[in-house]
Amino acid sequence: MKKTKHIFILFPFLLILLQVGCTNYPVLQEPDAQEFNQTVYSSALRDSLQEGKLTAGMPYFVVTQLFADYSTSMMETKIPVATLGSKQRLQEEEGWNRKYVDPNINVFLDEYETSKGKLYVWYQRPNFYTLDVSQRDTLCVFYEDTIYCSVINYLNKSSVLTIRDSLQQLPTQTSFYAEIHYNDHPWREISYWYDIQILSNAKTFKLGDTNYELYPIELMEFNNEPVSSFKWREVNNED
Amino acid sequence: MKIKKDFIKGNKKIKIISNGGKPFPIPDSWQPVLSKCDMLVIIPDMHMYIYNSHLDNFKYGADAMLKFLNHLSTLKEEMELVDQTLRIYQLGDLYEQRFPGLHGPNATAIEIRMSHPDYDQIINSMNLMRTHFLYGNHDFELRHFPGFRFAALEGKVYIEHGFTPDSWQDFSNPIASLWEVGQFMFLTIREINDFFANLLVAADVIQKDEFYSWGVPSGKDPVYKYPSEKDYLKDYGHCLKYYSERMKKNSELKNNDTKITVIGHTHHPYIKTNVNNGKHIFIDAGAWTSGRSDFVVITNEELAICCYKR
Repeated sequence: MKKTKHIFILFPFLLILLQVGCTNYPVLQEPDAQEFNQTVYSSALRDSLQEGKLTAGMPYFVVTQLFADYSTSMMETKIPVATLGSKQRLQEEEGWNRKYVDPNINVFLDEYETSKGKLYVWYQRPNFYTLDVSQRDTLCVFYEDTIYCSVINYLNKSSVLTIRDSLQQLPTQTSFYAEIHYNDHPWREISYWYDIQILSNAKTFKLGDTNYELYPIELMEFNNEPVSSFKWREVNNED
Repeated sequence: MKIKKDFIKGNKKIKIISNGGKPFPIPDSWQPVLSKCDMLVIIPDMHMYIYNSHLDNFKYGADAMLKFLNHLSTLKEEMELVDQTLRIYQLGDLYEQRFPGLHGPNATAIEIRMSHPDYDQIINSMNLMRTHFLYGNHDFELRHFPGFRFAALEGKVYIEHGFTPDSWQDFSNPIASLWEVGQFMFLTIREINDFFANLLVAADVIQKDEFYSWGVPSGKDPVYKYPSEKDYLKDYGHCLKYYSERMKKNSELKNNDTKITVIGHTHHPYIKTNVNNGKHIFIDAGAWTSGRSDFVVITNEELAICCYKR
C-alpha cells in the first residue's frame, strides 16, 4: 500500500520534471533593423538594437518582432492594466457572466516566458500629459539630417504643444520623429515620439493618429527585477 | 452651410444616397436646428470585433473608415480656423461585445481595439477629434464609463442608438429591450457559431480568416444602395412608429422643440421627412459594417445620408 502511494506521488513529479526539462523555447527573432531605422532616429536606441538590447523608449513593434515565433501558451500580450508596473488584468463583470473592460485604458502589459526567466513589458498610448511633458522642456524634431530644437512654451492640450521659436523649415502634414529632453524630471531624461506633426503656424505641434505598433515601451521587468534593457541574444545563447 | 460645398468639398469617395442624391433642405422656420456646432456628422453601428475572427464583419470597411476619419480631421481643423465647430457622434454598437471573447465568454472593447493596429488607430483618431460616443445594445457595458451616453440632444436634433423599440425577433421583448435571457441566448448562439467555424478551419473546409458568421453579411462586397421605403416599413416600421409617436408626445406635453430624430441599430438607412404631417423628420443612419459605410450629415440648412466608397 505504502509503495503504491509513493508511485502515485512520484509519477506526477516525474511528469512535471520531464515537462520542464523538455520545454523548448523558440529562438527570439532579430528585429527588422531597416524598419527600426526608418522610425527611430535616436543614436542611443539604434546602438541598443545593434547590441541586441530591447530598451525602454523603443516602439512596441520591436517586441512583436522579437517574439514572432512564440505560441500563445508561452506569452500573454496586450493585457490592460491600471498603471505602469501593475500586473493585474483589469476586468469587470455584470449580468449573466458578461465581462467588460474600461475602453479608456491606455496602459498595456506583455508577459513572456523565456529560457532565462519571465519578461514583463509595459507600454502605453503616449500623450504629453501622461509622459509629464511641461513648459521649459526641449522639443527636438528630426528632419532631413538636421535636428531642430526649441524650448516648449506651453501645452495646448494633451496632444498639442507650442514651442518658443518658429520652425518655418518644417513642412506641414508630415510625420516626424521627435524627442523631448526634460528640463527637470525625477527620473525621465528623454521621451521618444514616433509621429508628431507641425501645424501651419510653424510653432504648434500635434500628435499624429498613432496605433499600438508605435507606442513606446515604458518599463520592463526580467526575473522580478526592473531592468532598463533586455538582452535577447544572451537569452538565445542560453538555449 | 451646404453639404456639397462645405462638407464633401470635392471628395469623390463621398456620395449622398438619400433623397435621390440631393441634400434635403431644412425648413426655414426650423433654422437653426443646431445650437452649439455648425455641422454634425453621425457615424452609425460599426460592430468592430476581434480582427482575425471568422465573425468580424467590420474589417473590410476599416480602411475606408480611416480615410473618412482623415477627411473629417482635416475638415474639423479648417472649420476651427474660422471659428466653426464640426461635432462628430458615434451612434453606438461601436464594438461587438455579444460575440465570444479571448479571455471570457464575451469580447471586451480593449480586446477588440488591440486586435489590429487599424482598429486601435480608428479609436485613437476618433478620440483625438473628441468624438461623442453613445452606447448601443451590442456594447451596452460601456454605459459604466465616462464619455459614453444613452442619447444626446444637439439643438433640435435628438440622437439615440435606437434599441428601445426592440421586439422579440431581436433577442429582446417589447417591454425589455435588453432582456437578459435573450442576450444570453444570442451569446450562446455565437459561441456555437465560433466553435463550428474553428472546426471547419481544422478540417480545411474554410480558410483561417474566412468569414463565417451566421445570418450576417461578411462585408467583403461593398453595399452603397439606398433600400426602398417599402422594405424599411416592412422590417422596421415599429421603429418609425415608436419615434414618430415620441416626437409627437414630446412636442405636445413638454413644449419640446426637437424636430429631427436620428437612430441607428437597424443597419438600414432611411429618411422620412414628413413625420407627423411635416412637423418632424426621422432618420435611420444605416451602418458602417457588413459592407455598408453610411453616415449622416446635418447642417443648419441641409441634411443627408451619405456613404463613403472604398
